[in-house]
Amino acid sequence: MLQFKLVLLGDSSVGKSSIVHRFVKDSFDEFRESTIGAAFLSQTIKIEDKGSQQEVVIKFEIWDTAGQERYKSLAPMYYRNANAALVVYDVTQQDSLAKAQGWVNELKTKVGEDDLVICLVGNKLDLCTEEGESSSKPKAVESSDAEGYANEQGLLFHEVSAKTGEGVKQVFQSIGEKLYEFKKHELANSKGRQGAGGDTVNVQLQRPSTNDATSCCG
Amino acid sequence: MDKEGGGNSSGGRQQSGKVTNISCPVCGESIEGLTKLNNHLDIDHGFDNGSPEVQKRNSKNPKTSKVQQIVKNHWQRPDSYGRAVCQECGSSSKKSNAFINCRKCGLIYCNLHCKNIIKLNTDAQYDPLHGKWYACCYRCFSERPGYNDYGSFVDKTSSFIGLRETKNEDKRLRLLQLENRLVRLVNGIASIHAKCKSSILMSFTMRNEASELERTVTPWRNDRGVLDCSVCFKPFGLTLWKHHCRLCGNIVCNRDETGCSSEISLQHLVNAAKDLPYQQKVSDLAEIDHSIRLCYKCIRSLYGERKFKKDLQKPKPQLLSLCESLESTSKLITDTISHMEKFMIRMDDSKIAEQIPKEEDMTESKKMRTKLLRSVAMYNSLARQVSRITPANPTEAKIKRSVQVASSTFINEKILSLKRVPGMIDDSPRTSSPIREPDKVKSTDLLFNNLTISEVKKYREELMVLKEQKFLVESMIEEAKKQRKFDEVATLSTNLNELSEQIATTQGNLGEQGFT
Ligand SMILES: Nc1nc2c(ncn2[C@@H]2O[C@H](COP(=O)(O)OP(=O)(O)OP(=O)(O)O)[C@@H](O)[C@H]2O)c(=O)[nH]1
Ligand SMILES: [Mg+2]
Ligand SMILES: [Zn+2]
Ligand SMILES: [Zn+2]
Ligand SMILES: [Zn+2]
Ligand SMILES: [Zn+2]
Ligand SMILES: [Zn+2]
Repeated sequence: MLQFKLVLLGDSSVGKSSIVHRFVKDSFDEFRESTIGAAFLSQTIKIEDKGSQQEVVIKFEIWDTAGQERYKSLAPMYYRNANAALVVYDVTQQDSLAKAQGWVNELKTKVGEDDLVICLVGNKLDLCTEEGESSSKPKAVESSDAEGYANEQGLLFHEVSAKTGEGVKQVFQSIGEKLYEFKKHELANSKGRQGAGGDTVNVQLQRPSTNDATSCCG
Repeated sequence: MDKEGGGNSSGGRQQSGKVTNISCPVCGESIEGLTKLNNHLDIDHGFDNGSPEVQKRNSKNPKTSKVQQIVKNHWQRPDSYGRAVCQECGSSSKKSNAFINCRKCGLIYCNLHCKNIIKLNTDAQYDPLHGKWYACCYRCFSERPGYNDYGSFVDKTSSFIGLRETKNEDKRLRLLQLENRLVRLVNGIASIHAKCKSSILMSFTMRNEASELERTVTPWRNDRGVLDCSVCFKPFGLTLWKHHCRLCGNIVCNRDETGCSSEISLQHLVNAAKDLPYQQKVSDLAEIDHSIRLCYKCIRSLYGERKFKKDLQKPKPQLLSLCESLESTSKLITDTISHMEKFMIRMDDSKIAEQIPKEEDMTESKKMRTKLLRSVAMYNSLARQVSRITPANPTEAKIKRSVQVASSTFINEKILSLKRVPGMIDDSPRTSSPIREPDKVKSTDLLFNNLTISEVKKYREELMVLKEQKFLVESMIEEAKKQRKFDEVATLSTNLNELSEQIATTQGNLGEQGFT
């Protein structure tokens, strides 16, 4: 089993906790309380090794950080060690995308970018696709705009709805596949160098702390 | 004649079908039954939504209902690029559903800023009677005639004072009466005591005579119809006996837990109200061994105020004197800060004018800084003293808590207000400005432990967040252990260590200012 650390970042109330709960517990709570500090959850998924056609189990250890400004200083501690970051925005709120872009910038400057998988996620898609004009909210962020930005920055991109569950699984699936790819590369490289064989099970990927937290919250 | 006939015929029907005839309040026509009257009102007088004319027109030709639509030709249009800009917040978009025209003034607003509703007629004019509800902007909403967001103000103080005066007057009279009765009782008992001091049957005769005296001083209330205690309202019965208060004559119980009445020795009664005009000296009364039953209400009204006045003469509890010192120190800090703000503005002005600051300004600025630092330190030490006090009673505990909250709020607020002092937190080097050179006076000199106040505030906030999170992670570890998820315990423990380290670092940065 492979184990990866994943962190969620984004403005308050864009639906980070809702996405995690949909993924981990397959449930949705209309009246979820705003997160305090950072919450911890875990979930496993299966992916298929494209070469060997074998199933690989991946376990995500997830830190769901609070989006409120007050907790901003806590985030570095959790993204510093992460293998993947889910940067979430709300498709009906233009400024939430700006905040998300701020997080992407921070990640790129504070974390060695090489093997950190960043995924940009637009949430609350259900609000824009609802039937009937009256209840449907305007989509403030066009998919093409966000996707263009994601491509430009080399991020994964998904639009989801934590409420209906649409797209949530795929987010984690694609992150898992990407991480597995990286991992295989790394293993192949190290094998090549050491010349030693043997299957590596239960690998823990730990990112070396590059920065201390105080330097990231200026 | 006509009416009578109608009445007769329906009267006949009334007997068989039990339907009453009602005359229409509008045209007077006599109508059979409520349902028919309602229909008549709706159809012939147009009470059902909209005016009668419209009703008629609609029923003739449904297509003309278009006429009812509100005018749109005054609506503001998006600019030539198809972009619309909200009048209120200035946000712009090309998407038509992101914007809306105020139905009254016609200006363009974003969805957020056109949330009010107003009754308008088809000419988009305000019509509270016949209009329909339409979306409008806040300006149109609040500018409509009769709009009032705050309710109206009616001054009732004088009538209230009048009422209170009469009530207080009654209370004073009543108190006088009680005092009068007490004096008479004490005097009477003293003379009975003097009379039978030598008798062998002293205690017996005394009790008899005293009880007679008590009844003459205060007429006892007849206890026949009295079913429950006049203080606690618990019904009397086999286990709950009736007692008379010797001052007001009311019937009360003597439960210990409610303290509705108690027997108090003469000595105590007199000692607690020494100011009353007894015939004997207070010291002479001490030897009389006699108790009098008083109800809770009489005890309160007789001794409440006296006790309060006595308490006032005692030295203040430490908590209260600390409160007062805090109060005066906070005033000092506030004054100094406002002084400093003005001073800084003046300094900045002279800086803009490229003037070299005067010598005395420099010393003045230094003085104020020292004063401020000293009084803030003083305030902190006082606040710390308050938190160390063990409260003597629940009231003190309450006061202590409030003082703690108030003092930490005060400090946070003042630190915030220091942000407004020009240059106080802007610690980017502005070496080009001439003001820095002569005496190295930087406004950022206002330092705690080499930190600017804004940094102190930031670190303290961070420290609080870290401690909160540490607590959360500790409980997560407990939970994971219970569920035997040991690999998660490992991850969480690693995080706990990181948090502890970070807390230590932040605390180190704060140094002395780490108070919470
Ligand atoms: N309609 C809809 N509402 C959603 C969706 N996801 C979240 N919400 C709602 O948005 C609100 C905020 O969701 P949270 O998951 O608490 O947001 P958060 O990002 O964790 O917020 P913080 O914890 O403050 O950072 C909640 O009321 C959710 O019910 C979604 O996909 N569709
Ligand atoms: Mg949350
Ligand atoms: Zn009528
Ligand atoms: Zn607006
Ligand atoms: Zn308007
Ligand atoms: Zn009484
Ligand atoms: Zn009672």
